Amino acid sequence: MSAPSLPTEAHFESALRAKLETLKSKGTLDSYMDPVVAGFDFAQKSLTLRFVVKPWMLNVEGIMHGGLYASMADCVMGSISCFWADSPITPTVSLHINFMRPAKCGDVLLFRGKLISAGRTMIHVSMEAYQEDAPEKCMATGTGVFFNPHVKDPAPQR
Amino acid sequence: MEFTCPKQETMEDDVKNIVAFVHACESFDRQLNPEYVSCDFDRKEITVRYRIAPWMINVIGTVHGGIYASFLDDVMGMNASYWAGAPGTPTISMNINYLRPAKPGDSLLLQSHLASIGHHMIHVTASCCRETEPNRVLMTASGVYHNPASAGRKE
Repeated sequence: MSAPSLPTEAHFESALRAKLETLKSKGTLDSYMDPVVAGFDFAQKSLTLRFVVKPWMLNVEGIMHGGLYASMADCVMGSISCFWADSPITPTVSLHINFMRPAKCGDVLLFRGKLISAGRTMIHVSMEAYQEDAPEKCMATGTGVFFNPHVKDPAPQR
Repeated sequence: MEFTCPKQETMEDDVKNIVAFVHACESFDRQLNPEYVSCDFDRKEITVRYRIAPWMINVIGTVHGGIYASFLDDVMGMNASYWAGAPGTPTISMNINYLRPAKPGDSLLLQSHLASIGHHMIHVTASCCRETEPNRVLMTASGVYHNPASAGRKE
C-alpha cells in the first residue's frame, strides 16, 4: 500500500470547495445542514465551516439536537480527513464531542477543524465550534478518528 | 410529563410516555422516529428501534456518521431522562465508536444502559445492532448528561 501523496497549497482551496459541493448532493443530511466554507489555512491544516441553526435542527427542549452538533463536527472533520487522505471517503472510526453551550434557532455557528495526524491508515482530527458573533464563547469541542481506505478519487484533482 | 414511582411495570409506561412525548413535539427527535421496544428496570436498560430513512444516507451511499450519533444521543438521553425523573437532560459529552456500517433500509435496535446517576451527572452507555443480527454490534457509545432534578430516581 503506497503512502498517500501530500496535498499542495495551490489546489487546497479549490479541492476543499469541490469536496464540499460533492458532500452537499441533494437529499443528503449534509445538503440539509448546508455547510459553507468560512475559512481555511493550508499551513495550519485547518478548515472552518459555517452552519445556521434552523428550526428542523431543534430538539424537544428547543435547542439544537446533540446529534446534529456531532453531524456538523463529523462533516468538518470528515472533509479535512478526505482531503488529506486524498480519498473520496474516509469512514468515521470514532467521534468524541464535548458540549459547552446550547445553540438556539438562528444562531450562526463556525466549526473549525484541524488535522492532528495523517498516518497510513488512520487520520486524527480535532475541532472547536463557536458562535460567529461571539467567538470568545466556545460552543463545543471534539476529536475524530477516520479510516483511510486508500480509494482513489475517480477524477483526481492533482 | 409526570414520572411515577419506579418499578418494571411503571418503567414501561414512563418510557413509552417519553417516546410519545418526542413524537408529539415538532423536533429533530421526531424525525429520527424512535419506536419503543422494551425496557428492564433491574438492568437499568431501555431498547428503542430506529429505521434508516433515505435522507439519512450520505453522498457515497452509507449512513451519515452524525445520524448514528443522533440515534445514540437520542436513546441515551431518553434513558438519562427516565432515571433523572425529569425531561430535559442536556448532553455534556458523548463518545462513539463505529465498528460496522448499517445499510439503507436497515432497522436498528439501540440499547442504553444506566452506568451511574449522581447529583449533577448521569453516565450512560449504549450499543447498536441490526434487528436481524442482534449479536453483531455496529456501534458503541458512552455519554454524560446533566441531571436537572437533583433528587432523581433511586437505582
